[in-house]
Amino acid sequence: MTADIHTLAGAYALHALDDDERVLFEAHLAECPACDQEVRELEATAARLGGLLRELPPPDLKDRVLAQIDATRQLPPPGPPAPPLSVPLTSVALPTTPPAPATSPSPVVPVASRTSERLLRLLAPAAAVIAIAVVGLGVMVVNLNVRMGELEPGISDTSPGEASVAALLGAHDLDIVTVGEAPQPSDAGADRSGASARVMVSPSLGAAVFLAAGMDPAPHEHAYSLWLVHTDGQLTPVALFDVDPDGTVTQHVEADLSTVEALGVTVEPEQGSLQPSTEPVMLVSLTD
Amino acid sequence: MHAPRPRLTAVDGGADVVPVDEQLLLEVARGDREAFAALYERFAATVFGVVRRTLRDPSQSEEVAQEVFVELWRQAARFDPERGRASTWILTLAHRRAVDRVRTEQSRRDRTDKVAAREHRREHDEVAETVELRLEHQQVRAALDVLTPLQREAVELAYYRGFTYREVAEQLGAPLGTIKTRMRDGLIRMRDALGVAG
Repeated sequence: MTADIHTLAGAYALHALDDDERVLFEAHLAECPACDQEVRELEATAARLGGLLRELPPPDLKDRVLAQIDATRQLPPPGPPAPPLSVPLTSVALPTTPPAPATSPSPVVPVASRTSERLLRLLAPAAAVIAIAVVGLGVMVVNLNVRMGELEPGISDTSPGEASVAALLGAHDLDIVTVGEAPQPSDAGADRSGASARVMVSPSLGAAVFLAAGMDPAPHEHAYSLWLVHTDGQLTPVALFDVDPDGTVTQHVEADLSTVEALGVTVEPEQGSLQPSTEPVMLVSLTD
Repeated sequence: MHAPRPRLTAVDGGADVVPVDEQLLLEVARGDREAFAALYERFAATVFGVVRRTLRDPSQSEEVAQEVFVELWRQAARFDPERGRASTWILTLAHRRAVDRVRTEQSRRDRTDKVAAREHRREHDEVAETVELRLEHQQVRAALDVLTPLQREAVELAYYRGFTYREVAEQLGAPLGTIKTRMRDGLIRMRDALGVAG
């Protein structure tokens, strides 16, 4: 991050950032108390602009709202976060319908045949104890890098995503792991238990591509978070994403993968989490 | 700008009174439906006003205003009075949702009415019906008046129309970096003029 990123505080408070930049800036806020304070003040200022706009809604709106809240479960206070993950060890849940995470567990569908029990056990204590800084990890998701090029003139404007796929395909240590049926981009079948994922990974390049198909959109105001699961139990968040309209996902990861033994996907609040707060919906083991 | 300002605001009935909205929101966080209904009454016009100004389409505005209140119910426990006022939290949520909807709509059919964006329409501003509201209007307008024209335009296009700063830059034919800093400098000037504390 450059000092320049501070100047995004105004655009952020006005909700005038693109999604990618917003994710970046929020990661920055988590580690910059000065910006956090400034954003709070500027949000309060922007809200004053909104306070001028008064228009009475139709009277029946209130009844509709009240009826809907009766059917809406409230989120728990943030607090001791991340209840320990307790997934049945050989089953990994896929959200067949987007639920409110942490309130109504998704139906559990076995998906990852190569998922080891050890891995899931690993994920649980790690989630409980490890606080992970989102930035400064030497990990950058490529699709964010594209925007970074605009944020910080000087970074190359080639698309690292395309470059990494080509390089990956030629890597001597390319490993391809598929769970579920091979991803079919146009798989729009009603039976979403057919979700699948494929990971192409090359430790020597420090690059991986995560592909998935048949996934449901992330629940409202939530996003999927992609994690690297390290052999020592550490979890590194590498991307926040939603599925494309056809149910597919493509995420490029550039990171030190030498100690990574799995990639996991959880549902998180849309601004992301420092550690998984829900059970993994997908887990792809890179080891046998 | 340096005249003493009454410590009154549009929505919470005055800062020296018990902070009603904060209290209500904390009760909503505990699942209090009556508190929610009361909070609805206090914020319905403002939330709908923000959403309607940003989206303009009346039926979409109703949908989004409904979403905003349901989210307010759902996320109430996330409100932290240490980090800001209830009105800020609620209006930030409302604006965020309205902007999200604008962008969704926009990706579907790239907005064709960019020219209309240049109009600074006022007709949705309800006439201030109380002394407090009238004072609030005066204060905010006065704070907007301390901005340079470019700062003001950048802030207004973003807030009232849901434009990204890229879109604002395009609209105004100014470099991205300029718009970024104008938005921040503009809000900072307004903050100082309004005496806003975080």
